[in-house]
Amino acid sequence: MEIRVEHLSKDFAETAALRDVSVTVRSGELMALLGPSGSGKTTLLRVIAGLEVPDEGRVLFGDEDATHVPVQNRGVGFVFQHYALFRHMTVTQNISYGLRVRRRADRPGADEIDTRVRSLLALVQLEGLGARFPAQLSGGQRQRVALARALAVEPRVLLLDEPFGALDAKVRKDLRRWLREIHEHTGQTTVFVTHDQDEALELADRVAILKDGRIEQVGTPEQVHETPATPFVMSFIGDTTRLPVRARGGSLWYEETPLSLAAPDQGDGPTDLYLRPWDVAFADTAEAGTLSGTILTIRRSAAGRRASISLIPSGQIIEVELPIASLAAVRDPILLRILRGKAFPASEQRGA
Amino acid sequence: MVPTRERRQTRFRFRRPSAIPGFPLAFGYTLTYLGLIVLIPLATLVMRASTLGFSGLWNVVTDERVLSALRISFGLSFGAAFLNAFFGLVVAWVLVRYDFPGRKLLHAAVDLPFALPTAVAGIALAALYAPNGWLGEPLSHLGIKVAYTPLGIFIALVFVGLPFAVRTVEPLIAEIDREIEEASATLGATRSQTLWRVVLPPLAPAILTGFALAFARAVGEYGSVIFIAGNIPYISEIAPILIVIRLEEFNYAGATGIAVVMLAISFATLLVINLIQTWSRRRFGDA
Repeated sequence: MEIRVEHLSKDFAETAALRDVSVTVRSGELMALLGPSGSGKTTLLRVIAGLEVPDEGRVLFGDEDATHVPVQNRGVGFVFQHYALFRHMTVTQNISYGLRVRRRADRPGADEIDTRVRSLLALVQLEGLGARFPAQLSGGQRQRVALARALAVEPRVLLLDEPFGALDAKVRKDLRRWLREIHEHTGQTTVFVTHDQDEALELADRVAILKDGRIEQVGTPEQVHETPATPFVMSFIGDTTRLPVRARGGSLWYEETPLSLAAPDQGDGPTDLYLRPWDVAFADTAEAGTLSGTILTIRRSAAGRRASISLIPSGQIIEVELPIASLAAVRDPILLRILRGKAFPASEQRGA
Repeated sequence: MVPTRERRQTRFRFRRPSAIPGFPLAFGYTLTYLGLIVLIPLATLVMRASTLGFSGLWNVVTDERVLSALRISFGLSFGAAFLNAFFGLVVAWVLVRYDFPGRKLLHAAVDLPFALPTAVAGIALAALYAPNGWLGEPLSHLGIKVAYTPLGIFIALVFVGLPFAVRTVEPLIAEIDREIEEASATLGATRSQTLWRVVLPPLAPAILTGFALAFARAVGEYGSVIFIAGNIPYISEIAPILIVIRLEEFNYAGATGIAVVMLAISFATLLVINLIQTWSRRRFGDA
């Protein structure tokens, strides 16, 4: 089921506002809505679900205009961040709820409900826990029950609001992989909201990045990572350092040092150069295009070592990934060469 | 066999370290306090009644006037508590879920029947519902007589019980996660299905608690009832009044006899309500 959202606007929402948002979720796709808090990603998801009514714009499910279809009839499966399980019902009762509340004519028989619950329990790997109450389950298990409950009604689209937000890092990683597997298994059109760029990049077929109620970029994880459309996308997806440079005749200058980077499309004038930590290399000898600086701090992370380097003489700080074999220590003078970078015209709202 | 050390540990598990210092002191204090305030007076009551002997007690209880007073007291209390449980839920729901001008004022007003001296409430109700009162007069034209009838007692008992019914469910309603209702809606449930299957069942224990408290309060109510009831034997005489009458007749044994029976019925009722609660809580899996 393809979902199209056209020129959606919503003001004065309890959650964040939306401003003229248009996006298409392709049939069978797993799409992530990514953005900082207050960017409107959850509002967008709730509008698609029918839990919020937009002020303007349309929501189309396939060719059907679903904008004013009430949530009960919209055929969406919604998974909430805090599970929203019915705590007075067992796992089985929770999962079968959507089937049991149907009108008699549409309601499957008791045997069929039973079979479906059992196969869903198997799908979410909770066999044998059907008689438990939600209070007797771990967070990860509860979220899987919530997913099974949403899938039980055979929704046209599956919507997940920060599904792993309340879980610890390890469980989160497991569930992430497992959700990907379930999606491949069911082929369900799925939209999920997250503020975690790793989660979005790892899980989604395509990512829509929102900021202040607007869509900044929609693309594959590769596209948004490698060719970010705006400085915001660049800095939100992964770590970046912004270096104020100047474009002159198609090349970039940092103060009086010419950088060996071509920027043919960049008009002359102040420019922001965005660098990933691995876009900068250490140089052995001073030559044209090298910058000098001093190491301020070195931090250890799970992935490697990161140095904060203060450039001489400006004092501008950039973050650099240290080579594995590097013996560099704090307060060492260092020579740097910028290998890559992404130039955007200098903006007023620096850093974003 | 379980090693002795472990067994000792299980035996003393109730002495878990806590922020309140001095377990022996605190525990002794608790026992003494409960004994002095609750248990000894109740025991005295039973001892007093035992001077009647079983047949004497039987005679007191099977007295026609006593029976009718007990029926009126417990029957009307039950009815009033039932009505309060329902409307208390509605009032609590409105106070929690809606924002309207004067909400805080209304919120405070709920506690008034609780805070008011019961005699004051009794006088107010009697004046209001008397045959020439503001409400009593139009009602009497409709052929409804409130003062000096069981209906008057019922109204007084509803009045004093309302705060209990409202205040016990209110925090639970405030705790209900809106997402639960939204989840129910996304699964295709209508609003009434959501209400009956998702919203109300978790509230049941609190509603029952409110019912029990309103009931207990109503059974013991005296001040607010006597003025409006008229205290006509066999018609509008409640058991607590009959106890007072017996005392005034210096019939102490008769008075304690009625009191013991009231105690027994109240105790049995609360026990049943507690059992229902334990059962329903176990059903919700968080016992």
